Amino acid sequence: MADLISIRDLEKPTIEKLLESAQKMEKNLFTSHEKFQGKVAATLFFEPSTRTHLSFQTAAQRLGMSVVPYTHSNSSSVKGESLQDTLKIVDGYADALIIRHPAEGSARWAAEVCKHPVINAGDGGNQHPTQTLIDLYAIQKARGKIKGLNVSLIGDLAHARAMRSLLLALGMFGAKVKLIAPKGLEMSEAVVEEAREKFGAQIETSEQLDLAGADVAYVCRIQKERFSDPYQAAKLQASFRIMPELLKSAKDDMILMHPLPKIDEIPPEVDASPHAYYFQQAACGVPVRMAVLEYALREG
Amino acid sequence: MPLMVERIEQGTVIDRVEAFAGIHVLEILKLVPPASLPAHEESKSDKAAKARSSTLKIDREHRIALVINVPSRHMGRKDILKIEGREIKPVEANKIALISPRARLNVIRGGKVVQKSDVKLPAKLEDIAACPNPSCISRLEREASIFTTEKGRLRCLYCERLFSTYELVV
Repeated sequence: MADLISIRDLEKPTIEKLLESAQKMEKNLFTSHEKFQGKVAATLFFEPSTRTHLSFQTAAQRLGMSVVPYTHSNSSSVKGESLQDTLKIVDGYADALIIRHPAEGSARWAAEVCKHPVINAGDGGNQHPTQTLIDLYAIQKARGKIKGLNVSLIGDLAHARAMRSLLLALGMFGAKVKLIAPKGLEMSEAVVEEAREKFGAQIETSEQLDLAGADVAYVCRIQKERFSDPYQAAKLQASFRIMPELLKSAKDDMILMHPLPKIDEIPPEVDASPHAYYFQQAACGVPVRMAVLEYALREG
Repeated sequence: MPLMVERIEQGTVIDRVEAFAGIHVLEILKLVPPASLPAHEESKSDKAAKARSSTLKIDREHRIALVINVPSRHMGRKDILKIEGREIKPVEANKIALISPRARLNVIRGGKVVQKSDVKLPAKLEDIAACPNPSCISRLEREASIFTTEKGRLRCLYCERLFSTYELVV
């Protein structure tokens, strides 16, 4: 059994195995997996989620597992039960715990409290490792490789947790990364430095929205709720929209990715573009999370 | 006029402590209660403070001299600590590298220095400092966090953020 808490905990061979396993899962999506029969996955979501929650539930069910969903608003937490008690109780019911909680580091702490494996489904602004695995899988699926690809990460790179872990993973896999963010919303210098030092990552930065030369353009939304001035946020968002005209400058085979939900950084008319890949990317969530559950529940 | 402090026969002298950091060094070594707790005996009347002090296992058994802001050839100004009757182990003293990276530990036996060592930031620091990130789970569920060192900086095991040693709330 193994916890999956942070992309920083995973070595490259482990990630490669997970991606291989996800590929097998995708090929055998409708095959029954006997070894998971009778196992129970608990999903503890203390924050709203659509894709992560549903794809974890679907992944567990596709494997033949049962799912016990914990709903924060209907739980004893509202009566004042401590997080530790809630975790210990659910740990007594389930074979694996999938947790999303607003406190940073909550998944690692939960793993200390629980005897069954804990999977991090997002811990505040810190990590969302299964999203990173999905992103890597989706890129590899579309382009056949990750190494050497020109990947542009675009948008509010200061606040998006998915972008931080993705930068580390792309560095690990040898992609060339361009960080495109409006002034003031740049990626944390510490993470850029970490990717360069640990993996020798090739990273350049720009404030100018430009898709030329990119094999992958990965966009995230401007997090308006972080701005004290909503007009400033709206102005930045307007300057960082992926409009159909902008896509004309992109390479023919460039894929456009987004962790979703997309708000207005990608207008609906782009959905029909051959570049739009975000819905296929989201669909990768099921086989990748099946592979993650298999990793967490493996014997030995 | 030089400041005179009596020599110790048995114990530890911690020299080259950053000026004004001496009291925090004593806190880290649990030789005085944290500043948030009343240090004097009256604290015994405060049940909560007493319980917390007992949980923190404060060692109140030794005579201690703390000299603050004295001239130093190497550092300009420094603090010096003399702890009678207790030998601080290097592993224990390494924690003080957090706030006093140039500190030197002198073990005294029979009035003589028998061992000298410079402190070194350990690879892992456990339960001596709270994480400065208010969104970190350790702020809600633990008294202090666990940090690993990365090139002289500290990464919180839980929220994974990187801090300078001076950012830590000791």
